[in-house]
Amino acid sequence: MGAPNDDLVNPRDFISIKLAIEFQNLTANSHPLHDDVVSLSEIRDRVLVFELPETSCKLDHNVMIKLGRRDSNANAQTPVLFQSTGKIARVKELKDAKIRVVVTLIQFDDVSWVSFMQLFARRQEEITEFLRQVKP
Amino acid sequence: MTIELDQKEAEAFAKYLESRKVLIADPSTSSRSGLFAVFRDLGARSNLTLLVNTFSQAQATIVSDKPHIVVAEYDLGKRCGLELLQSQREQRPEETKECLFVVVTSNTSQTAVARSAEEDIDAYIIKPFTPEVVRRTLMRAALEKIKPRDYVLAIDAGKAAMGEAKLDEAEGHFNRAMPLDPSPSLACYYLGQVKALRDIINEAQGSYQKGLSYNRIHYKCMVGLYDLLMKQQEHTQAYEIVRRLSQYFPANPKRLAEVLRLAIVTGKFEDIERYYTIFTNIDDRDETLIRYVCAALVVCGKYYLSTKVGNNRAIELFRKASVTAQGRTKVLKEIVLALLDYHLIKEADSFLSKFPPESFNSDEFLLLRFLVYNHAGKASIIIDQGRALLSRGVVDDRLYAVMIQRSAEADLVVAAEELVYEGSEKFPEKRGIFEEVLNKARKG
Repeated sequence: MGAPNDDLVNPRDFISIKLAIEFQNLTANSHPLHDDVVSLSEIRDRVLVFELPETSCKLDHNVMIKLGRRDSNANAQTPVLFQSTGKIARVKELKDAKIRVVVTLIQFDDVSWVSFMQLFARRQEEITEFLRQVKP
Repeated sequence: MTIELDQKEAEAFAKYLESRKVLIADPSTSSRSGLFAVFRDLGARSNLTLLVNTFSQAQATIVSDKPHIVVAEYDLGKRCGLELLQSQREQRPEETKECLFVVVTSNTSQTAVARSAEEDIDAYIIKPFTPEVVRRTLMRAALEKIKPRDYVLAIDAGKAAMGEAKLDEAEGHFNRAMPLDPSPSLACYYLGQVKALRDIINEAQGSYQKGLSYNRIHYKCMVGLYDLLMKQQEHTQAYEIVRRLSQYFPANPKRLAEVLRLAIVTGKFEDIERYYTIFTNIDDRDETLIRYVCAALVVCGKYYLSTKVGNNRAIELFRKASVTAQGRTKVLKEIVLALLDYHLIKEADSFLSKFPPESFNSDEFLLLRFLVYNHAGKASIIIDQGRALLSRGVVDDRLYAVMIQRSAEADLVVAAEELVYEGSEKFPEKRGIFEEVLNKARKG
């Protein structure tokens, strides 16, 4: 929620959570792909769903995923919030030479997984609470 | 999420979804696919679920298929998904209680959330989403409409009575609603509306304030109070309310303009300069925000010129506005004209040089250059330039005034009189000014 400080324009109100993504196909030993071509669309229990260029990976390929929160300062280093190895569990072809892949996470740190999930869960709770407060 | 949804509610929701048309508007194919799966699992019928990826497709589908549920990405190409809400309401004006509008977006900023809240959306879900969050949020939003609480029913009854101008009956419903919710700000708001309609201003103000005492960020109560204060021309109090509104609902273009205008009206010029300082720290500057900040700086600068607070301070604000404007010629034009009004010719010339090269052949730039040079150049050259502008079809009262004056000074009496006639035809309200310019120039 926008901080109830004395300022009319709060720079923080304009900031959206932006993810830094690194997606590497270990089976094909290809170069990592980043968030300019990869997007994370869903989070499930120990599963991540990505939208990728169609040639990025195939079913059963092993992958390495690194996720961080991109700072508004483009030059700043993005610390990795969560990283995991994973296996492509499902591939669905989409339009525009893209695929939707379901990645089952294999090896990762439970604490960082929870903290990554909370990054969005907390913001979702704040938003839901804000809407609840302003509407009744 | 705090509401425990029992099996009965899930079934009620599935039944609600069964016959409803759903539109999912999202540029991301993967998101559309994920949302489609969630809706299907919840009970929506695949043949009634429509998927589109652009704003224009969404708008066309709303008109052709009249979906009950619209799920839209906030950033839908160059347009905002929120704009679809109005289209949905227009298509189903009688059934708004049965319709849902949900934003599902990667935009987690408070500005986007607050703007959505102002539009009275039913839910806001951020991406990447979990199917469980989508499921629970949708069900909660839908159940609030399918099974409204007694409080909501009482308010709806009051609103209906108010619509029929039955104010006593409406007031009765709103008073009945008061004890039905621990924080009945909305009931207070509508009571305030009834009082305002009856022109009992103090009581209306009291109702809004009571609503805010339950919930200090209640949007409708703040807006109601603000409108009331503006109507009473209580600008200082209105300014405080609109400032508070803007803190919780930032970047609403209309409101920002109001805040900045009231800051000027109430003489809070320092606030404008402070807002500018904060504004410079915002990375993601909205086009509208830029426009309003520029406008406020220019208006503030003009005020400084008029009150002789100091030309230097005004010019400093103009400089900031021109930097922020990044070549937006409308802002530069306002600055140049303001400086010319105060005969600050050198300064006007300096801001003229900030126009982008691609605008050098525009009517706007040529006119301003003409007005600046009018103070320094030779009369014959000014007249030639003015004639060139008129033959280009430039229509501007200042151009006529200069040309009348210069022509008369150069003893081109017939030409000057023709210009008075021509100018008066185009600007009838300026006839007196043109004639005065002509007479003065003749005497001079």
